[in-house]
Amino acid sequence: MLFLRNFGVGKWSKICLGSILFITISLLIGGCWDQRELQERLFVLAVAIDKADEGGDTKEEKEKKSIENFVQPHGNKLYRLSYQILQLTPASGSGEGARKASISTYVISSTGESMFEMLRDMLGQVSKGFWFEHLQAIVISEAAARQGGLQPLIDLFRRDTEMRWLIKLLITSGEAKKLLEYKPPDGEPGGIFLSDSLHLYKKNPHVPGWIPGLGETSQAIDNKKTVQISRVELVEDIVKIGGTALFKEGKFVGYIDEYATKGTAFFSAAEKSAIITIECPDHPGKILAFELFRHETKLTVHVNGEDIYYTLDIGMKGNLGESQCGNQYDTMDEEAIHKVELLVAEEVKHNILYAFHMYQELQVDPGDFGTKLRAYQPLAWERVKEHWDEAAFPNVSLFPSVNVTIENIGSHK
Amino acid sequence: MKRIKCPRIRKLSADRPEASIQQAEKELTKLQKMTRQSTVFGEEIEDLVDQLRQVAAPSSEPFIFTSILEENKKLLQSIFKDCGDIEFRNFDAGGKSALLVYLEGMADTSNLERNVIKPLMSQTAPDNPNTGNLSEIFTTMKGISEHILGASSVSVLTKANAAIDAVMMGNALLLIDGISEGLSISAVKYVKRNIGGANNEHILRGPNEAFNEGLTDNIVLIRRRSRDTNIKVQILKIGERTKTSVAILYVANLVKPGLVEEVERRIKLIDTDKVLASARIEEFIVDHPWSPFPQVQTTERPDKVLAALYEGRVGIIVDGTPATLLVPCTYNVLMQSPDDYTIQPVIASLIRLTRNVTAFIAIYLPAIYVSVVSYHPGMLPTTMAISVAELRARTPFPSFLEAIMMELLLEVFQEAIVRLPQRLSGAATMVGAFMVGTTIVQAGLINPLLVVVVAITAISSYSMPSYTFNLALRWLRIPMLVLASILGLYGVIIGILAVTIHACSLRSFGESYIGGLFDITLLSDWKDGVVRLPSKLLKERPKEFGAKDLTRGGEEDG
Repeated sequence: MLFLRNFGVGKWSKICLGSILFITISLLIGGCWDQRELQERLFVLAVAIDKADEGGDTKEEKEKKSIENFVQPHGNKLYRLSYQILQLTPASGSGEGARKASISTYVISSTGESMFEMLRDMLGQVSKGFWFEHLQAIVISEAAARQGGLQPLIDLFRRDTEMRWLIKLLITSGEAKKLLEYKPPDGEPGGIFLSDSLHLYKKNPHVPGWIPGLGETSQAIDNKKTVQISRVELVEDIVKIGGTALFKEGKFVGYIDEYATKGTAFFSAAEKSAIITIECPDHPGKILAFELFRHETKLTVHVNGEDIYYTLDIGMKGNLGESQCGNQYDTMDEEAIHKVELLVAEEVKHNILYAFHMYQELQVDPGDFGTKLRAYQPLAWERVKEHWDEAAFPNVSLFPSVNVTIENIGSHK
Repeated sequence: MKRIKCPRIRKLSADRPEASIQQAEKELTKLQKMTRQSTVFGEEIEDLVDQLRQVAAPSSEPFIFTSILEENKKLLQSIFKDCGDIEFRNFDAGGKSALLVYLEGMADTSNLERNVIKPLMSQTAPDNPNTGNLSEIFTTMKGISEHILGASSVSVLTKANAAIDAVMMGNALLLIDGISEGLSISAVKYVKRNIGGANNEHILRGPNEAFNEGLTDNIVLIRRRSRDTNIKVQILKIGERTKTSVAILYVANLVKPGLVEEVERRIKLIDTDKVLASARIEEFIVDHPWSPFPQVQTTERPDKVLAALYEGRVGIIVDGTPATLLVPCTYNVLMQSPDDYTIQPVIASLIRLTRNVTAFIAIYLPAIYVSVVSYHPGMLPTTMAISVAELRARTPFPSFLEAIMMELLLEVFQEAIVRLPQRLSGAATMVGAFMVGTTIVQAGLINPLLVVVVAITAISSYSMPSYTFNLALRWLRIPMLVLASILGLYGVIIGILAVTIHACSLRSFGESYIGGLFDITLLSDWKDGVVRLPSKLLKERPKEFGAKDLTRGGEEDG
């Protein structure tokens, strides 16, 4: 203190110095607790969930499976959890050419019942901790989904803090792990490939609209709505996304095809763009395509005594995108274009009813109909809500009316 | 087993009382007291000698002039004892002996010869027509200065102190036998630099004259730019020993009431022996000497000073330093460059906005990098996270160490380039470019992304118009880095808050440092602050500095 006094440090300065020291020490002790450098984290880019006994038919694979395992005090070997992990290839300094164009990944798996337990067991196969903040997609095999429903599969991913709402969910009828091992031709990691591919929903009417994120799925589950998940298939080295899997109250109900998926989007104008094809008016057997730009949709519910029915008013604007009707077909003719407009309207009506009947057959409300009834006709809803999906919904009728305007035809005199 | 008895270890002072710390302290104070007393004795003895030497001088004066020249000369010689550069020139003036005292090299000898010595010596010639009243003229210094001397600026001195000061300033002191007064003849001429271009604040279009070391020259540079009698110059002498001239410049009918008085008060309170650079004055007059931010604007450009004076601010020119001080100083004025007024307003506005962004980058970018890489890589887009991870895949150090090392390296290079002779600094630059740019990255010690981050930060801080502000930004980077490495982005946010709160509470002569930017009543200052509008629209002075007359135009003048 003699030293401090020589510098003219008074009582207040001592208090200040003391508190600075205190803050510094407590920061040094308390800080840094979750510091982990970027390269010390294992990027999990995609997750696959299979049934435990799925795949692995060859002897070699069976041997592999026996080691991807652990002794488990509770539960059974129900699921096989697989992670697609980013393989860090250091960018070596010698010039541009050294940078590898493709990003490699590898897949590890474990079997068990609790997802969390499997996660921690898999740490035995790696040297760094897993990190899920950049997780892109969760691929679920149909068999796993049928086995116990959706809830046990995604609960961990809904609960954990590292998960993000934009993680995409996908369903495949085959083995999900195979999709993680699939290497997209342009070298990007499979997880990013799947997620980005789903982002093309704006142009691709064959995948459900802005629905299959983990967040929206969670909301749908919590609101007891139908969950729609994109379907993905892998055959040999071809991956194709299209169609929708439906879940009701966590149970797998079935698939609807691409055509019905497109029709579903028309219920609530969820599409930004769609291609609608019709037969040429004057040349049967040939095809003409209408490109949808904008549409306005109004779904109205009507109750007439016991009878519940819906009207769907749709106004569509778009272009004549393609005509294979031959050169003689004159698209400059206003009469002809008007005919096309009517035909497209017919086709849209057909598409909507096709999708609607598919839902009715599966006894699943796609989400819009029950909500409308509850909002606008609460008395009628009270009457039918107990058995809406099973009894009421399959019997309601839908009357679409479509008005199509073709704005540009893409040809000139 | 026999137990070894061990004496209890005690303090040394318990055994030997003379070794205790209280005792040592007591001895020390005794010693200090004795030294103090001895200096007091010394001073007293000196005073006694002085008293013995002089006749009956008042306590504030070393002596008083007598009418006997020889005695005056002796007294002066005792004052200027061992000052080899003081010249005593004896000559004969109108039958009386005269003495000219001046500082060699500071006084213009040819001027003195022509205007002082020659006219005085010629008075002895018998054919002079003025001989009739010669003896009358030679009775007072006033008469001599009015009738005989050809010098332009003279003043009669009766006090010895003033006479000594005059000699030390480079004036010549004339003493004549029989007159108990001195005459100070201003003939100052010493070696000095010519007016040069502004080296540190070079601008592309517009005037490029810069201040140099001479106070009078510097004031001339300002006077020459404005024929305004309202520009007032007040000169103070600061420094116990150097007695440096400090000029306070202001526009009398613009400056905020009380500001000049406050500047004067603070300058007069300065208690120091020497003032060698204006930065010394700056440190004495700022409100918060511990803050890293510069609270006084420095410039070497006369046009900048004049512009500031017409905004109601006060300039302080210190003799011997080209860097002139301007107060009050806020963040806003530090972010402006004279070039903003020589280019198109839209471009100038964009450049000013860019400067504000780069100021932010210069402090926080390395901290944000460290916190994102070590704590929150989830914030990066996935593809970017992957490429950053690949860049860092083989880096041996954690990002914080890496960043600190790079910062250190950068500071070392800057220091080396500034300190080295100009011819060698090119070599230092080369070494720096090779070492950092290629070798360190190739060796895998530091990843290229960090080099990019540090380079952007450095370039950002260089783009500040004020060098002292650039230094402040450079200094602030390090605590931000430490906070980021301990607490991640929370630390960065705490740092941003701390810096912002500090800058808001910082006052420069009553004006908030950064608070003016967020004050809704000062919104009109944005016209020439955050952006710059065309000159036609800048009809008002900034409200922030409280100018008495806010309109620049003439017709609304009060």
